[in-house]
Amino acid sequence: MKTRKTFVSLAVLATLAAAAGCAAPEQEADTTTESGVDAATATSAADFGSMDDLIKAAQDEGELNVIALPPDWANYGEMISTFEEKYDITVNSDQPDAASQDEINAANDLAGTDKAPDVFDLGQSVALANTDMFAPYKVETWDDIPDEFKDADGTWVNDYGGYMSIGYDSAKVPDVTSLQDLLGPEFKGAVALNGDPTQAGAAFSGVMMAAIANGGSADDIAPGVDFFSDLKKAGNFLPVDPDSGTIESGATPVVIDWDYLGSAAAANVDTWKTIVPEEAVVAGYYFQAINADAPHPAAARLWQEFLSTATRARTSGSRAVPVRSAVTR
Amino acid sequence: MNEAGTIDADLWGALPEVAGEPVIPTDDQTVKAGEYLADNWSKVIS
Repeated sequence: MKTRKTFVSLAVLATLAAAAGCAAPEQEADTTTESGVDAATATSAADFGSMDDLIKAAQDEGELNVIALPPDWANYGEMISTFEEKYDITVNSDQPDAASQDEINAANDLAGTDKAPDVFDLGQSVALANTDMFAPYKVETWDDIPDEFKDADGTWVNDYGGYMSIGYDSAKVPDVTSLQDLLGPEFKGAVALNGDPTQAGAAFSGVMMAAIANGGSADDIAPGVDFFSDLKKAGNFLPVDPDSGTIESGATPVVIDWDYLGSAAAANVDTWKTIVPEEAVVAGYYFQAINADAPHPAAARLWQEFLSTATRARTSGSRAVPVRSAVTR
Repeated sequence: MNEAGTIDADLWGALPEVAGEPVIPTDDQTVKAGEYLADNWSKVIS
């Protein structure tokens, strides 16, 4: 049996690199640092002089705007407070429960203001559709990141990932072994999907998982939509956006979401179980990128450096799998 | 990261076991699936 520890090659992702464009950031605001470096076009810490110079430039900006980073997702709550304390930079966390598409919409709506997001954390489908909005940047650990997890020009980097899963409260519903189980009468009004698949990366992969479990493939997601249609007709689909709060309160007895989020929720619900259905194993990675129009371009770059050295699974509260761990398959 | 010792073995072990070949949609597949969802999801789940 293959296990997580024998992670398969993700070379296929390498083909994505070619698709990523490389737009020159607009320079509407004065983003030049005291030492005369234009932070908005810097593509490495060395462009600032040194890491210390990058830190100083970010501290001069004093703030970082992040968006769609739930505190209970991939350890973001702790990471944000650690960043604030370590660098004495205020992190403005907007719409923590928003979807990937909301991040792009906010960047467009708030462009040119100091409220625009500085950085993005996006699901694959939304990330790849918007690469022209990203500023290229290569973190100091760039060479340690396998090629298939980064754009060759530094436009984006995959930071963490995992497998699509079914999480469930075993005190409320029978044990789940497959997607098909969820159509049964024991799951009436119980099955939630994390978000709208046209907007959110997790939900997208959830429908992909359902497709693969029902005769579809990465080329044919239609059976996944049919599955959710059947789920709704059976009265089992629960139109609630799940999070750790709904899991703890019992409002969402079954949740289709990334395995690391389900496992993290289990820390607070003893009877919560998470399975990756054997008939439909879908992996997915999140994309980190800098908004080309970032109002705090140095802080945005320092955040990338911070993420690249933070070890998400090392601290409590998160079981997201950092990309650099997947390297040692 | 396993080799570097910067991953928590207990937390790593708490993740569910995974059997089978993972599917990772390519760029093109992701775009096409996204278009299908845009056209059909709201008809099914409103």
